[in-house]
Parts: sequence; C-alpha cells; structure tokens
Amino acid sequence: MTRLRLAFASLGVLVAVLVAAPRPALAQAATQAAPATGFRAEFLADWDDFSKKVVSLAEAMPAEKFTWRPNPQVRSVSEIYMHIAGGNFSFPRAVGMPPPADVDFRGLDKITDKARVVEILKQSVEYVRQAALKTSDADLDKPVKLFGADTTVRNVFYIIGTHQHEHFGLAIAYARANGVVPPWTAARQAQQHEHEQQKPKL
Amino acid sequence: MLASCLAPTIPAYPQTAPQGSSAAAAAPTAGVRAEVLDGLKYFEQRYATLAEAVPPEKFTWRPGEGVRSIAEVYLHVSAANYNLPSLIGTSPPAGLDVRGLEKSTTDKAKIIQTLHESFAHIRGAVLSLSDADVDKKLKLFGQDTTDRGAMIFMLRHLGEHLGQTIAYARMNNVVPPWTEEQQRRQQQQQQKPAEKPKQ
Repeated sequence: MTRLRLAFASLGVLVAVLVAAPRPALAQAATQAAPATGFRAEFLADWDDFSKKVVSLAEAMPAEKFTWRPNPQVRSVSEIYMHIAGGNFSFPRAVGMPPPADVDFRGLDKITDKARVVEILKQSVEYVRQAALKTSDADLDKPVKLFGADTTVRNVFYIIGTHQHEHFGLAIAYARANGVVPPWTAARQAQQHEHEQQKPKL
Repeated sequence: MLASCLAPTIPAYPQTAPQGSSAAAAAPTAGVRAEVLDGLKYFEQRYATLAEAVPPEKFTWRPGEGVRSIAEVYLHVSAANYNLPSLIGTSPPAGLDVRGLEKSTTDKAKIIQTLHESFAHIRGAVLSLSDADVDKKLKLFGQDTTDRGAMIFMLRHLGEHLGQTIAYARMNNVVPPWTEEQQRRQQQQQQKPAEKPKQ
C-alpha cells in the first residue's frame, strides 16, 4: 500500500488518473446527517478543523503574493491551493463520487485571482465533506482501487486528509516566507498578549 | 501544536505490548492499524530521504525570526512521534527529554537517527494496540474521540510538517529526492531513441 501513497504524492498525474478511473460500485447514499461516532465522525472533525485553517490562510495571504514561488521550478502560492483543490475534487472518485462536471482540471493551476482561488478551495473542501457524508459506515472496509493499487474506502479518506495536510504545510511555509503569520497563530499570540496585559503589575 | 500535545489526557488502559518487546504483535495486513502503519511507513521514508538531501549547514536555516529552523522541524516531528502515542497508551521512553528534543541538536546525522528512532516508537505504539482498541474513547484537545481518531491526528501532524520541510528544502534549492528521481526517469524516457521500424 505504500506504493499507493508514493503514487499520490506525484499529484501532477493524479487528476488525469482519477478523472479517468472507473467508478467503483459503491452505494452512494443521499447526503446524510453528520455521524456522531465512528471513523467518518473522526475524519470529519479533523477535516472541518483544518480545512477552516487552510481557507483562513489563503484569505490571509495578500492578493499580490498568489503568484509568488520560492524558485522557478516550484509551485506558486495559487498553484499550491489549486493543487489541493484538484486533489479534493478528484480523490472522491475512488469512493464512488465522480468530480463535479463543471470543474476544469486543466485550467485550475492557471487561476491566480485570490477571490477565485479561495472560492474554489472552499468548494473543494465541501466536496470532500459531502463524499464522507454520502459514504456509509458499512462501505469503509470495502476494497477499492486507487492509482491501480488495492486499498479500502477508509484508506482513501486517510489519503485525502494527509494530501491536504502535506500541502497545507507547504502553504504555511510559503506564508511564513512572506512574513504572513497564520491567522490561528496570530489569534493565539493576541490572546497571550492580552493575558499578559491583564496581569496585575506588582 | 506540540505544546498542547505534551499533556494529553491519557486513557487508563494497559499497554499490551511495549515497543520493542518480543510480545509485539505481527503487523496487521488489513484494517485501521494496517492503514495507519502504511501511512507511517510513507512518512518515515519521505522525511528521512528529504533530510538526507539537505546539506548539513542548512539545518540551522529558518524562513524568518520566530519560526522553526529545519533542524527544529525534524526534531519537532520526532518529539511528537514520541509524545502523541501517549494518547493510545504508549509513553515516551523513560529518561528521554521530549520537551527539550526540539532544540537538542543541529547535527544532521543525529537528527536523522532521532527521526528513525521516533518512527520506531510510534510504529510500536500502533502495533501494541489490538483491532478492538481502535474504538476506545479518549479526549483530544478537550474533544471526545477514539484511538482511531488520535491516529488520524498523528498522520495529520506528520502530513503538515512534511509539507513544511519540503517547502524549506525548496527555498534552499534542494529538490526532494523522489521528485529528482521522477524527473530523471522522465528525462530518460524522452531521450530513449525511437525504435527502428521493423522490416
């Protein structure tokens, strides 16, 4: 299965492979209420928490920095976010939810407008959320193929999560390199500062 | 993040097979633990090969003041690999200063060794669980979750900091070895002479 994980890291080919992949025969139920327990509940709790951070980080980046890249061979800020979005729209195919018909995968990495990038990112995050909601608990152990390798529905969700996390880490480093403090860190620092101010002076 | 992980609410159940013990269960081939172990294997490979590719003098580089250096990120990951398994019943090795680990060294060889040892620890923690344990309840940052949820968090943490180390490497013109390998193969394919037409 590590072969599978090594494959997912080469996401240059991910979109093409996943978009063309056959759709597995899993029962895709209508969207259900969020589960309160079990793997999907845990996945969604994690997904919602860090997806908020991913979006807030994109919102905190100045618009003119969206074309910044650390060197010419590497993805720019906007390309990182659109790569995350491409993964979020594509991976769910492996669990029976094909990508939205109106997503232009080939054009994603050409979008550099901040408002559009943030909008697409939000849509992609919600897309994964819906995929988790539509999957039934009974399907989690079912075998599926991802990048030609055997895996399970549950492991596809693990990989969706770690893919976004990995590129989220890149985006944080890009932000830091441009002097942008991640909003959740800035909020924590502000709280600490306020706490210090309120301490009685002896 | 690690600061809050240093004092997790540890569920009170026995550690069935301490890391390194002969009682450690054989690696599962299917199920949650197999999938988590697969993730850990992937991350160890990536972190280690990337760290190997970074020149030793760059380990003190940081993108800005107040942000972790390259060495500190790798050691932060190692500290978390020692610390987070407390959530699922495996404490850090006795005598290890987990809190001090992040700033303990800037030596490349030592950092890579620590990284591997920390992955052995977290792997041992997952192996010491039974499949039935994954549904056990615990608290993580005040929220109800299970051993399985804690393992999702462990993978999340590894994913996030791997991305950070890749960006740090790129900012220092280090190409991740797996990308280099992929580029080399693509180049070889492009240079392959066209087959002679069969007559």
